[in-house]
Amino acid sequence: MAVTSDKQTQRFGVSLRWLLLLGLFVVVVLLAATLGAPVPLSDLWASDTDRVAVARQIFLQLRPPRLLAGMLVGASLATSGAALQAVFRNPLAEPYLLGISAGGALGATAALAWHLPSFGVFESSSLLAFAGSLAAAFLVYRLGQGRVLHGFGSFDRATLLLIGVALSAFLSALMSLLVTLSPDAGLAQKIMFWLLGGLTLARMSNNGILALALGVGMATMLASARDLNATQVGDEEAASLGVSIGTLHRRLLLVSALMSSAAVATAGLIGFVGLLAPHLVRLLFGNDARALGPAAAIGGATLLVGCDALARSVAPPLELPVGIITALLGVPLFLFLAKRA
Amino acid sequence: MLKIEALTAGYSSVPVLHDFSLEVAPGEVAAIIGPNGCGKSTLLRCVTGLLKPQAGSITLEGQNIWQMEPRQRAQCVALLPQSFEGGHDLPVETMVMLGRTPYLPPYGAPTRQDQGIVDNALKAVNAETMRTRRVGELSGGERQRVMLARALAQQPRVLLLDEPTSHLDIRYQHEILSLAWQLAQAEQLAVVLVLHQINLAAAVADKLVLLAEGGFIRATGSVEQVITEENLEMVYGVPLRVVPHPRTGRPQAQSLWDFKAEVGPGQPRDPMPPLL
Repeated sequence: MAVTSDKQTQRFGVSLRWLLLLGLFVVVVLLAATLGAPVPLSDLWASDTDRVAVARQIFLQLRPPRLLAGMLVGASLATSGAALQAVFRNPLAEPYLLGISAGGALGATAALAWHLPSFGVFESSSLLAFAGSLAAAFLVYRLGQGRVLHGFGSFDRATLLLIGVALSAFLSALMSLLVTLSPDAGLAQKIMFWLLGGLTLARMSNNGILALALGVGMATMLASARDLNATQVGDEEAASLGVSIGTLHRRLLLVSALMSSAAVATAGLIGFVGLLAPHLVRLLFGNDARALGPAAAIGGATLLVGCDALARSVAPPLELPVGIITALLGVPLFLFLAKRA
Repeated sequence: MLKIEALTAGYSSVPVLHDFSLEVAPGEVAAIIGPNGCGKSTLLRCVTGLLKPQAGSITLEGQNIWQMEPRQRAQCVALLPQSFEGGHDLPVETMVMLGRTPYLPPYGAPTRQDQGIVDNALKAVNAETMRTRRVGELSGGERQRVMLARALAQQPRVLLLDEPTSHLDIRYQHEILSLAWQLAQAEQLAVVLVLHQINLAAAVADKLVLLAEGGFIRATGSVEQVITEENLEMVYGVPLRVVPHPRTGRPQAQSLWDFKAEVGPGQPRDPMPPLL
């Protein structure tokens, strides 16, 4: 029958796209794992035990946590971006929307300025960045609550966005104040490093938290796919189809904040991945929320691991902050997508 | 049986709909008519569960629809909305599958059974050939049929249509209303229509409610009881006469408005003297 064969072609096309995305991911990860090191990969099998030891340290001890952090941070930012773009039904929504970047930056600055001790395996700057991001997101949400007249859910989209922008400016000012008043002359540079984002401080302990946040976020995203697809036709129609808009939005805002806060705590402010990755995978899979979450995660992971590999190898031995690469590559790509749409 | 009793509803403390009551049996078509802003859409929003009534009750087979879970309510009540906010990019088949939302698991993967229901809904509105077209590319009449198919895919017991004929030419107006009437018969749906065209309402409905400005019921009952010159002139402020339809005998309203007369904007003048 014509309908069935149409369906089969469609399904085949979709499988092909998944294969393409996964293939790209695997290739980029393999390249990032093996290239751009001061010693060649073949040293792992060298006869000289010293060279084997160096190669082992680089390829088996230093790189894996960083590679894993790249995947997890990229995936978390992209999933968070995909969720927020769906909630706000706005293509410009991104993970740092709810004051998360400014809150995280303030937290990290406070930890560095006051030389707070680390807590167990976690750096104080990571912990405070995580807490600051979550607190900022929560504050934005609380301030934006209860402004709905005719709509659905518990907040007005435009109001929440405006509050996010305003609170971000306020928290950034507080951060600048901390830096200015600090007697530590090196603080500005440390903060700068943090603001540009990078995976050099990747730790397995942080990766554990990230993996947990990503797991919770992805599970929530998948369990919201039916409702997210229905909201494409508007809040009112989705509500008439049985979707509880308020619950859906609260749930997704919460896990988005969790994922992006965990990413910020690990890698600082890496821009554009969370905005760009969902748009890129939409080219392949359209707007179907069932595919969008996982595809955005894989796309984001590929993007960030790739950019990190570039950041390491563009001007060795100098290592660029990966945030510079993501913005330099991301902005032209984004402009291209924006013009195309 | 859909039973609306003494419903009062609105968006602030001032209600826009007062003390509204209506019973619609399965297979029956009820039409609500009245001027702009008389609370017609507010009524449908209450029945769909989008707006909480301030007083009164809405029950379906004795069960209060405001005590149902949203998903359970969406399995009983389907709305064909007046306007479209989004979803213009969606293929027709996907749009109709959204009607299965209240039945699908959270991840939203449809089963073969869901696909069968969508196929039947498309067949029922004669839209099978549109499956792969995008909703935004359809003409107004085609889109209303697709939206009707989505409502059918909800397998509801109550079907609400909010001004389904606005933006349609006369042929599609007739088409969508006769589809609604036939579906009410075939599926034993309780249908509530909100309409602007008095004569279409009089032609298709089994019972009518005429709302007056401010959201008060002016007349309710059979078509003959509601469509009277006195009722219509009182509510719309337009000189009218009511004549029986030459074929069906149902009452039809004809305007006696004198378009050439020099009257102020929106100021009706006295009715013209009888023509004969």
